[in-house]
Amino acid sequence: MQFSERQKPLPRLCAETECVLPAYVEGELSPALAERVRVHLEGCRRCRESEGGYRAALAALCSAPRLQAPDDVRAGFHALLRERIAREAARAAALRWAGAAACLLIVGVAGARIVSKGSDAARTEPSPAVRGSTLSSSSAAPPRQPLSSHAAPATLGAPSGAAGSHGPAPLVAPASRSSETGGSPVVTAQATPGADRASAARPRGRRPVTSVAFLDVRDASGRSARELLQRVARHERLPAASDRWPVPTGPGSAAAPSPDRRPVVVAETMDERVRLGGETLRVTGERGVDATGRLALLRVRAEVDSSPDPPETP
Amino acid sequence: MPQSASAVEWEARMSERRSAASSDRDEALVERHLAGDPSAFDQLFRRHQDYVYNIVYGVVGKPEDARDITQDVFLQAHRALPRFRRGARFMTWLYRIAVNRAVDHVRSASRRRWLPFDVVMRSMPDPGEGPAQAAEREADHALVQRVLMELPVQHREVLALRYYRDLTVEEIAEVMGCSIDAAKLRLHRARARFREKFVAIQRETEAASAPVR
Repeated sequence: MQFSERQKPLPRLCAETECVLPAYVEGELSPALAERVRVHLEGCRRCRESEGGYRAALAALCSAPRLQAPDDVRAGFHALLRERIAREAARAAALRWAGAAACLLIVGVAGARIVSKGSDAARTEPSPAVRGSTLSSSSAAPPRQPLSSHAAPATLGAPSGAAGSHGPAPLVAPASRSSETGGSPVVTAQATPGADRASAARPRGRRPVTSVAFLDVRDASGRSARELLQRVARHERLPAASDRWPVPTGPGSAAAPSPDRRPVVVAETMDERVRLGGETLRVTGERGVDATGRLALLRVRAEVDSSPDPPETP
Repeated sequence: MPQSASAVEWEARMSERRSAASSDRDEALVERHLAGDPSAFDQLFRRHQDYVYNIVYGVVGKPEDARDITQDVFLQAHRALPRFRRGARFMTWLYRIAVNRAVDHVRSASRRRWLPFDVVMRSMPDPGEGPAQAAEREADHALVQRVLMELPVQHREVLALRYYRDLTVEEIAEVMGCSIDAAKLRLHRARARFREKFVAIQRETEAASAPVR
């Protein structure tokens, strides 16, 4: 079988020379090996041609001009760098805010759980010596409204001038006040001697959302539910009141005339123990809103409890 | 030729010293940058931008892409510099980023076809060079780039490091993360393929320019 010139296998020495030719051309061989290659090249035309090809190719590669980076490379780099730093700063700020929000959320949830655990413990061991009182409020917007007078002798003290000619603003029964108030929260108190039984009848496992913020909702006379509770703590006798109040409407009221019982959705409940005037009160309450989302019901019940405090939850 | 050999050795030693001194300055600038000196990285940029650009250009073969990739390389280096291993050489670390980015670019853009020498390139000015010489040099460069672009990308990167940045085999091994023997083998294969392509294209050119009888 005849081989063409290119198909013939290289002699062993030519193959070895071919392997080291680039290094030979680049002057990277040891002197002894370079001498052997040189001797071989003198007697081998094919390897000399190969060496010539390497010399031309590598010389062209070596002499290829070095380029200068364009002038705008540096300016573009700095612009990109500024943009990236600004982006990372914005992301870090967002992460900080998210972290702070997460911390607040965790603290709030943990606090709510602690308070609700404390109130659960109080519910499971109702004190035999409980004086129960209930404060309830029904409202239509706007929320501020002077306390109205009530025929019952027990009142909750004088308002700070907001009741005008009515003088001190007592708690009011619904039938006597709806015509004289303009659609605002009205806080009344109801003595409920059997409140401990009602509390015990509440289904176990219910964990009310605890919030004390609406204890501080004030009516137009500046009186809050918390202050009424302080009166409860001082053993003042409070008038009876119904659970639901007709929505007060009056001349000039922004609220449209509504049926006696506007749909009320209980939006928030609470159950906690508070110390007022040297006594412990177990305070439960509900806050409801009407269909428009405005405050429509505020009911607070306080049980003055002389039993020892339950052990604190760690 | 003992005189020639000693001259080569002297040049090699000087080159090694220059490289070591440059490397020392690089590491000092890295330290200053990490200590908060805002001008240190800019000095590193100025020192290496042409080298990085040439290496990237040798691999991708297109000036616009080389410019964008050079910016990306320095951005990536700026971001990763706090994790730069102390004791390593900044130069080889930076060139490794450059080679990787350039190779990634070539592989991601392998479906695109383009001519590598259809744009105006600006080479280092050579004082005393006439217009004819400059044109000849540009033509040689275009030929070299054409041959390079016909090689596989793994050959381009090692040739760009060796001939566009004048790195030693040891430095190439450091940049490419391989042993010295592996670097030598890669360089040998790349040279051989380059020579084959170069000679073939030269013959084509000579055949095309020969007068038809």
